[in-house]
Amino acid sequence: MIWIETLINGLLLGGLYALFGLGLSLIFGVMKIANIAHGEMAIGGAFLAIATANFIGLPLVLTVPIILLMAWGFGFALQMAVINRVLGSDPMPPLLMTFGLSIVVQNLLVEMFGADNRSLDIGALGTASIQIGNTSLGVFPLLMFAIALALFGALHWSLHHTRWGRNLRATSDDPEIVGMMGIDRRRVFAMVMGLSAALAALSGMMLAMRGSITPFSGGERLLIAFEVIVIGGLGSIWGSLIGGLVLGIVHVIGLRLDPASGPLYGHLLLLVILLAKPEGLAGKARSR
Amino acid sequence: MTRILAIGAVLILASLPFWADRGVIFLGMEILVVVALAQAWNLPAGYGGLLSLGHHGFVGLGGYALYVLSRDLGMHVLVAIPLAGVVTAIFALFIAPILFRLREVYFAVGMWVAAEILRILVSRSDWLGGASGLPLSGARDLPRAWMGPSAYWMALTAAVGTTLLVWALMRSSFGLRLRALRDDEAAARAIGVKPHRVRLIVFVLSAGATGMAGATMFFSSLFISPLAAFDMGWIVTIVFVTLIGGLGRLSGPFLGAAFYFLLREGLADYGNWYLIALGAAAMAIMLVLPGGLASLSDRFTPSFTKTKEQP
Repeated sequence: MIWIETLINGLLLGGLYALFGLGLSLIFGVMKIANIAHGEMAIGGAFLAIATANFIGLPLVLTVPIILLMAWGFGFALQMAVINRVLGSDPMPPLLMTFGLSIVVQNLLVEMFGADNRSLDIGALGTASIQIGNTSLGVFPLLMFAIALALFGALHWSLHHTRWGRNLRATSDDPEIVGMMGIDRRRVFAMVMGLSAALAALSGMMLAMRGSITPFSGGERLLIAFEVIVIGGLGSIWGSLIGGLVLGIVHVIGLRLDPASGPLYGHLLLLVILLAKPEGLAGKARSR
Repeated sequence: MTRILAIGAVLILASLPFWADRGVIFLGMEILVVVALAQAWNLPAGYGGLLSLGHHGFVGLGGYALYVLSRDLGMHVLVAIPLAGVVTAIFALFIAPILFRLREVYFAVGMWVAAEILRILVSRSDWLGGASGLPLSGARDLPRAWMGPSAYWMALTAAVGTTLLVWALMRSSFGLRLRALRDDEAAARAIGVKPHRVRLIVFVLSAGATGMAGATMFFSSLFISPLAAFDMGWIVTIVFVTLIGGLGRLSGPFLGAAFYFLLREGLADYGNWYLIALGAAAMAIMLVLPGGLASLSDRFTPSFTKTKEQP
């Protein structure tokens, strides 16, 4: 029975991991670059939410949408003002640029909030649980999982059924050609970066509601997001979901068998996947 | 002329422990270690396009290799430091087949994951002192007064050695193949360059030099712990120093290290602000001066012998 509970908890955690990966996967899918500051965007969003909710005293229902909007605006502006200028055939300048950003954000957070553990208080929701048979499941993890699934579904739908999604897929396929069709690819990139930043902030806030974070939590979040997309397989958003769920299960089982292991088994899983199935669990595309 | 100047500069630097005080010797050692680390990272990243965000794993591994060689084999520290580099290089040779399945940005982050695995494994190993760390048992190999100067000379050897290595490689046909691969892999393959072998060689050389520099650093501290050895701060310093100085340029690590230490010492009283300034400076350099500080000289002296940095 304990194992079923562990497995379900792993799946629920995996939903959150998948959300971390989704933002990064979008960026890579459309621009072929990696955002090293993805983790810091998540943690930065969470810290802003903590500041808004705890210090200003705004209720969470208002805080979350405000932070999401701010994150979207930050991502959009970042892309327009900085990343677009270094975007080219070489994926390294954007990588180094976002590496610089991640260090700046991380240390600004340390200066502003100190290095202590902090979390977002969600009141009674945090401890509520429901009983199914002999297993008890937290209401909040279930809610997070449902939100993650809904977001994957919504993104899939909008990629295939909206004008925005069509532009995005076209830009991903060939950014040169879409220019001739009257699409400003720099704007498309900025929209994607905004969406990615909002997804990062959302997953960061969920993380802070579920447990606690420090300004240094960003690096580990980036590695999780990275593992999610490599394990799942590059190039598809459903790969991120599969990667997230697998990684969540591996983490929770690893922690149950070996409580001091931290993220070790997730990291090792990445190596195993690279050796056994480098294209990822769901991917066909070659990793590049 | 440049060679005579360079030899003169090295001789003056080598004499530093005879006329400077301990604080200066320690700072000089730190600067030289950072130059060596940046030079070693620049070799695959700047000239070969093989960018790693996990070189702090090699720094820590080199440090731990020194401590283990000294404790378990009773090796003299001055022999163990270069050997620690060899151990690190051999380790790199073994992980390369796995990590080389990732390319470009994925390789960069994959290396970071590898460094994290090393940190976790080391901090869980009782043989390596676990999370609390190890003292250097070889500390008694040398008289106390010679510890600082020895670390300094080791760092000087590492800095000069890596610089000479990169310089010599880039003058050879191997360097030409490496840069051809960075600039256009398909074209390089077509003229017979073997990408895997060329990348493997620079990766292993870079890891070895990084391990030796790391061992030098932890030789002077007389104590090693997983948190200090595998600190992300190493890779942050290495990347920013090289970026600011100039990616793919021999003088880049020197200029970048000068910038880094001026900033760090200048903002020493303001906590983490030097890191914020450093990150912002690196971002600004990428926007306005992609060749780094080293490319400033090109703006005033047009040269036909230098290769262009930004294709």
